[in-house]
Amino acid sequence: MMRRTGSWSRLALALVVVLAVLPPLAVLLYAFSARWDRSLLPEQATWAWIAELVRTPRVQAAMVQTLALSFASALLTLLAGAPATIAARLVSPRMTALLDALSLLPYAIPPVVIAIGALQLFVGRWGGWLDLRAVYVVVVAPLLFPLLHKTLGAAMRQLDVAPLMEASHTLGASDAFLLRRVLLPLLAPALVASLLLCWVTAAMEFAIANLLLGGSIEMLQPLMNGMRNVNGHLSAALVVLSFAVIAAMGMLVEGLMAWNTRRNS
Amino acid sequence: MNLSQRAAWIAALPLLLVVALAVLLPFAWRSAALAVDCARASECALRDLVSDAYYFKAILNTVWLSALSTLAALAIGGAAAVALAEHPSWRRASAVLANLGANFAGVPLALALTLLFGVQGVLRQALGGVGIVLPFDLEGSGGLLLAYLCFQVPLATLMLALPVQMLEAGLMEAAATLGAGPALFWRRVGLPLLLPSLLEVGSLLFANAAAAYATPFALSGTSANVLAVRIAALVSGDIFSNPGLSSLLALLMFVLLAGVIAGANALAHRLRGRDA
Repeated sequence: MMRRTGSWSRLALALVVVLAVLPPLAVLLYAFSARWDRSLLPEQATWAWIAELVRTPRVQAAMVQTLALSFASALLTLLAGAPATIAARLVSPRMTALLDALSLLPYAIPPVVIAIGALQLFVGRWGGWLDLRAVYVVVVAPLLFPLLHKTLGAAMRQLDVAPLMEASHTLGASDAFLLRRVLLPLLAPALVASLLLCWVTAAMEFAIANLLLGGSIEMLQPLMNGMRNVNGHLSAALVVLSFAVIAAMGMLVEGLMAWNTRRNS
Repeated sequence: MNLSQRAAWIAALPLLLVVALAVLLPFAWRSAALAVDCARASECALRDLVSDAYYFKAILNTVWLSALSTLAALAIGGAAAVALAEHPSWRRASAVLANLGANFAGVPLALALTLLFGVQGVLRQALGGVGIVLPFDLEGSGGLLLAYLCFQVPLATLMLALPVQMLEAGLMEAAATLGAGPALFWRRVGLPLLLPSLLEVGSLLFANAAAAYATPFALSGTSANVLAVRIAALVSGDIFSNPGLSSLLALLMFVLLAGVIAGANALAHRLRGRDA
């Protein structure tokens, strides 16, 4: 029988759960209640805010814009990042180290710095001949790369590609053949999972959406922030809707990765 | 065709190009402009920084908010990770909840905290009704710290779960067989072995807090005096702009964060090497 460390660790876990659950719970209750200002508990359950939200053209427009632009960014990350991560893991430990370092770059040069730099250079200087949407898509991509690199890297470690490569070489197959016929099909679920992960992350990004696009293209997060001051219930409903979509996508990602593990083992 | 080193670098070229173009080019361009200004001694932002205590305060605020929220997150998250290592059946549900908490930052978090702890917040009102006055105000540093804890603590739990789990398996039992209680085990075995992971996770948590822009901005607008908000407000603010000072603060932030991450990783690497 294992020795228990006692109650303090369970107390800490309870605190984690409270910190993690209390804010989303408050927003959830607020989004589904007619009012919540008279007592500790909200009053009158209602779907009205969600219904009003999905009918509002401004919200619909922001939703479409956000989904489209963040998908473009996620796709760019996948198309530019996946070849790099796969090739590095196959043949070049030095390149893997470089890509690991690139994954840390958004921590040292945070989104707000990237946004301001892009605002000054790409909009202020070259704005005349650069498309704002394209700038946004390219600027967000490096922030997403760490997610792709981590997800794909884990899938490749699990696959254990070295023996696969050796076997294919022994059988006279080229690397291109191995890649096309063996590796890519095996990695497909991980690739789709990283794409979805990048997509939701980009859709929930605030700093670049607000600073770079603010004023010209309305994105979900800045809209959510603006709505707080007008009607908190609507803003809360938008948060709930977004997180419902994120949760659905998250389940899809987890399902894909679990299926991948089962299939490859 | 067999995949050569050269082919691998060609495959990586688009990514390197995107990163260079989107991140490094604007950053280098702004830093170069700053250096040119200061070399000409015309409008050096360094003078603005030194002459105005407000920006020093922003740096200080960022450092202590990040450091304090990181230390608290490591302590609480680490302890929670121990509970999870001991109770495997709680792991799945806890991971889902911690994931939610770690991602519930920025605008949604600001909305939630205003609902709960704002001037009209339901918890503040309810506690006030029974005579308890909350000792912080949501727009001030106390509120910021609470907000940062809401995403830092769950994130720390997520990141520490695996290292703690790998440590726990068997080691603690062995220590118990030899007569060591939990306290002795953690002091002499557990914490020293966990130290490299704590350093790595801690450096990322620190950077995560220092980089946070949406949370302080959504909570108290441009009056939130932390680096990330100052960097943005100095360029996009309506009142007055000073792009040079913004570049300087961004550069300082880069040096601070890169130093923390590189330092922590190097130290963790050395500690691991010594144990091996």
